[in-house]
Amino acid sequence: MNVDPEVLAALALECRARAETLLAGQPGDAAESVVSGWIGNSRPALAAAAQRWTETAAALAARVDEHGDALRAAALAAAEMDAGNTRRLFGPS
Amino acid sequence: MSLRLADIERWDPQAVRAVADAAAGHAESVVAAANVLAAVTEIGWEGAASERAREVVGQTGVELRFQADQTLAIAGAIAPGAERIAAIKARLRVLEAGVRAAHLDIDRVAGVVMPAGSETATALQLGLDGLIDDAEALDAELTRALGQSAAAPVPRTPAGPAVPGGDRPPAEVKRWWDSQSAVQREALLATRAAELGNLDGIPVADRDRANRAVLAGDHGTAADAVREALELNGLRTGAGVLLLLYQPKAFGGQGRAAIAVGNPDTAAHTAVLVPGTAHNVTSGWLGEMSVSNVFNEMTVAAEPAEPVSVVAWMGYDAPDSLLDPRVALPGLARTGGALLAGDLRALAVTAQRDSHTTVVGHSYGSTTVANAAAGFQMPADDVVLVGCPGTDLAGTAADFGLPRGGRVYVGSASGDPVTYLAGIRGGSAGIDPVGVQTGLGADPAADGFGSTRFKAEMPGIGRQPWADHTGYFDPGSESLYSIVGIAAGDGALLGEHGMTAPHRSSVVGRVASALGLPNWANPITDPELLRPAATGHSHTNIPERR
Repeated sequence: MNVDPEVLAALALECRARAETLLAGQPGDAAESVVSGWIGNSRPALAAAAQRWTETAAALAARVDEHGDALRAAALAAAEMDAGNTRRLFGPS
Repeated sequence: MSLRLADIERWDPQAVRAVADAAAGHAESVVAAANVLAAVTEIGWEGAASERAREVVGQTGVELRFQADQTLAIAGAIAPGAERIAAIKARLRVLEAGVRAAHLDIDRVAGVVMPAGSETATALQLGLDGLIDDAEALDAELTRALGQSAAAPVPRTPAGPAVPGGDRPPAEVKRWWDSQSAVQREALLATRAAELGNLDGIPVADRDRANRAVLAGDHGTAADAVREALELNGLRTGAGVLLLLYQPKAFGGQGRAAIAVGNPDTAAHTAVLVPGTAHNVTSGWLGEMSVSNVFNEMTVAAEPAEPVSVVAWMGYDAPDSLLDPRVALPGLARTGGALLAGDLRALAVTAQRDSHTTVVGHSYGSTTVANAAAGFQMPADDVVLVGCPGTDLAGTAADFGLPRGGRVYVGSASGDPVTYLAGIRGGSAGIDPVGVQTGLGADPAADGFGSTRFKAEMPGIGRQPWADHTGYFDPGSESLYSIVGIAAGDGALLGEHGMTAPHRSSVVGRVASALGLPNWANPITDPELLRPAATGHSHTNIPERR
C-alpha cells in the first residue's frame, strides 16, 4: 500500500470546494430568474430544463461531496495507521 | 403555440443570453470537478482502497463529463437565439414604422395590417407574416435545444444521513439541519422531500422547497387548492409565498396545510391567521382575500425596514358547518390548539431574528387560539380574537400566558350573533333558556375578562348577522385596520388612533341572565350597538405612525 495522507486530505478538501461550486453556479437558478423574458413553447421548456438542471446539479454535487468525505476518511485512516506503526516499531515519541 | 406581436415585444434577448452564459459557465465547473476527481489516479495512491476509489470516483467522473457535454451543447444551441431575437424585434420596429408612415394600423392580437387591400398594406402584411414565422421557428428551435436536458436520467443522489423523526424537538432538528453542508442539504431536499417538508425545526424556506417538490407530484382537490392559493396570494401581494405545511390527506382528505406570504423566519412582524367553522384546505380558505388583505395592509403599517409575514394556518380540523354538531363543542378547538401551539413553537425555533408574533383567530378559530395559549403554551406576543364564540380553557386574559407587554385584543361586532354564544360574565359559557350550553366559554369582549376591545362594527343600514360575522378582514373596515395595527406592533396605539371600544357590560349581562333572557338578547349589553361603523380605514392615511 502506498499513500500520502496529506495529499489525500488536500484532494478531499478540493472535492468539497468543487461540490459547492457546482451547486452555486448551477444554471437552474439563472433560468428561473429570467424565465419572464422567454415566450412561446420555449418558456415552459426552459422551466422544465431549469428544474432538471437544479436536480442534476444537486445530485452531482452530493456525489462529489460524498467522494470528498470518503477521501478524507481514507486520509485519516492512513495517518492513524502510520502513527500506530511508528509507535509499534519505535515506541511512543 | 402561435406567437402574437405582444409576445415578440416581451421576448428578451438578454434573458436568452443569460441562460446560455449560465449553462456554459456551469459546464466549465462540471469539467473542473471531473478533473479533480481524476486526480485520484494521479497521486500515487495504491492498494485495495485506491482500487475501489478509482472505480467509484471514475463512474462519477463519467457522469460529470456527460452532463458537461450536454449542458454545453444546450448553451451552444440557444446562444445564437439572443441575436436572432434582437434582429426579429428590430424588423418588427421597422415594420411598425412603415405601418405608421402609411397611416395604417396593426391588430396586435391577430397580427393583421388594417385596413387591408392596398398595395402597401399587402407588402407590410407579408413582412409581418414572415416575421411571425421566423419567431415561431426560433421558438421551436429553442424548445428542441432545451429538451436535450431530458435526454438522460437525473444522476443518482447519495442517500445522505438519516433524517430525524418527527418526534424530535424542533431545536434538535434545527441543530442537525445546520450541521449539514450546503451540498448535503441540497441532496437531502432532492431525495427526502417528503420527510423534510413538515419537519418542525427545518427553516421555512427549505420546508417550502420540500413541500413544493411533493406538491408537484400530487393530484386531487387539496393539492389543487394549495396550488391555487400559492398563485393567488403571490399575484395579490407580489410577495414570495411559502408552503410551510402540506399534508393533503389529513382530516379525512380535507387537508392540513399552511402557507406564508413573506418569510416568517426573517420577518420583524408575523401574523398567524386561524380560521373557523366551514373552512378547510379543500374549501379554498388559503386562497381567500383575508390573507392578502392583512399582508398588504401590514406592509403599509410596519416600518419600511421591518419585513412582515402573514401565515395562513389551516392546520386543524375545523367544524364542517354550522350544522356540524361539533361546532357547539370545544373538542376540535382543543386538539387544534395543541397543533397550533406545536407549529408556532417550531416557527419560534427557526426565526432568524427577534420578531413580534400575533396570532389572530376568527370564529371557532378564536376558540382554538385561546386553547393553544391557555392549554398548550403557544408562543405569541399578542393575540387577536374576532367573532369569538367563547374562549373555552381561558377564563380571562391572564390565562393566555402572554409575555410582559402582550395583550389579548378582541373584535366583536355588536351585530355578530356568534359572539353572543359566549358567556357574558367573564367566566362562564352561555346558557340558553333550556339549560343547554351553546357557547364555547367566556366572552372576551365582556368587561372583567381583561382584554383590549377594538372597534369592529360593520357598515350598512340594519344588521346583517352573517356579514357582521364574516367582515372582520374587509379592506377599509375598523376591524382590519386594528388587526393590522396590532400585528405590526402598534397595538398600544389603538387608543391614540381612536380605535378602542368599550366592553360589553357584565352587570347588564347578569341581570339579563337573572331574568332568563336567552343569549341572543345579549346585544342589550353592548355599548357599541348603536354606533355606526366608520369606513375607509387604512394605515396609508397616517402621516406619522409613531
